[in-house]
Amino acid sequence: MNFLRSLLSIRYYVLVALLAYGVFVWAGLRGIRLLGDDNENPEGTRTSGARGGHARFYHK
Amino acid sequence: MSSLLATPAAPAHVPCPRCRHEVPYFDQLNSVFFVCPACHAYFKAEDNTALVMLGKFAGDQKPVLHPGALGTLRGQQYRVMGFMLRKEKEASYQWHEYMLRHEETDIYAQLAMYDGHWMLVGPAGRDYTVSGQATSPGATILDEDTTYDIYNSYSPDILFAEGEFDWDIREDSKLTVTEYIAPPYMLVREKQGHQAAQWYKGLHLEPSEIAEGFQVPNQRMPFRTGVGAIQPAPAENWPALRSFSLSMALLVIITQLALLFIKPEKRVLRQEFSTGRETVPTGASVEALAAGSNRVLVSKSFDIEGPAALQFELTSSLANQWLEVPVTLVNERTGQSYEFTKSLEFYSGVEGGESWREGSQDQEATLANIPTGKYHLTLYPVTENGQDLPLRLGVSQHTPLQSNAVVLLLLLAVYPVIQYLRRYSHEHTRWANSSYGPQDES
Repeated sequence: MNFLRSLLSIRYYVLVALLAYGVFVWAGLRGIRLLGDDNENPEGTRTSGARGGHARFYHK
Repeated sequence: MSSLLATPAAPAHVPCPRCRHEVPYFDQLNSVFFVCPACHAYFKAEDNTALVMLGKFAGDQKPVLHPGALGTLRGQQYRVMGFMLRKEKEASYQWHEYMLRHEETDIYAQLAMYDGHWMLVGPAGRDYTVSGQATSPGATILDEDTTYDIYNSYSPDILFAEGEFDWDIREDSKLTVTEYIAPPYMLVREKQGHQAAQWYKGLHLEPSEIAEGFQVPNQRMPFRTGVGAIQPAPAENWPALRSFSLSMALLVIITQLALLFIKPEKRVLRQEFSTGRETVPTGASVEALAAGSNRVLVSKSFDIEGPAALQFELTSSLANQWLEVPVTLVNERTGQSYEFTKSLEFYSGVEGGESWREGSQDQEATLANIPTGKYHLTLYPVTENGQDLPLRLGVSQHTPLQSNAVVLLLLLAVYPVIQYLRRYSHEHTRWANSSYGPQDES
């Protein structure tokens, strides 16, 4: 009870921490990486089955 | 209104034996020693007829609170009876001490000011037991749940005084004063020779309390510098902050481990390819061949139980070669696609008698939030001159997203770390004024 009362003095930090924790749990269940993933087609457009070209690799 | 203006008329006066100035005073019962405000003569007056000249203070000082001023501190009314400028005998530290008399109980207290830091000191009313030698490094006092650490030990010199006193203030130079601190409190031990030690307890006061309590204009308050001996550290909520942030960190780690059980990682595809050219170029692949592209590869179909994060592992056997692999993940029912490109290159050799290696033969990629469905991969490998290289591809679903936990732990640590550094800096500065600090123990 004393611990809960002491949290009043850091209530804004507690709120932000719990919110961030909620986002963390949600991302974990949805398989979402918070720093972003490697997807280069975020629009998720339908593929035509053939790529119209790709990045040129420049060898040193 | 300044404290000087607030000073009421004194009930009694005693003539200065040196300049005959009528010295006002308030405590007719106890005051015996006086300092003339006109000539700074220090004299004793048992009564108005027996005046004994004891000395004279040189120079002039401008105390913040003048003798006779009436003020309120922490709801208690005090009158300023005297002022002293003191210094440590063996050091250059100087501070102000104001003698206060409680207006109801007539008990005396002191108001000490050093570098703009204020402390109210009164009789402790009891003795304390010091662990270790009272004036040696490491000496502590345990009082209930509070530990007081030795902070300073000195003998004082009186450089200047004003007002009235009930003891010969010059005798204080024979005292050994030892201070023990547990901010915002201080225990003061005064010892003279073989006499029993006298104990006092000090309490930190904010300058604003003095200014408001004695009606002192802000411009007359001394500028506060450094950290006071018992000035409370910033972030007074530190114990709660530390406990909560550590609890949250533990919760994040437990949750991350729980996610491993709730959504266990599972391999959904492992396939090997060969990146040779098409034997008979047709249609659009002609252009690709001209650019050095290889044949288009299509993986077996596999099922994803989403929403899931997918981990891709691309591995090849390279010997001073490179391989670029654009990959497209295609949902076979909706046609929705996800794309990424990874480049593998690996070079090694010997130069100047030393072997070297550069690059890597494997790469990883992550695609997040992939819905449930049947998928396949389309790969568009590119190699130098269309070389035929092996390409191994592995796909796992529900790969643990450790970076999420790391990001959250770092985020949660920002505020506590800032507060910790503030407190550390505060304590370091506090103990820099002491010869008993942690930095002096080595």
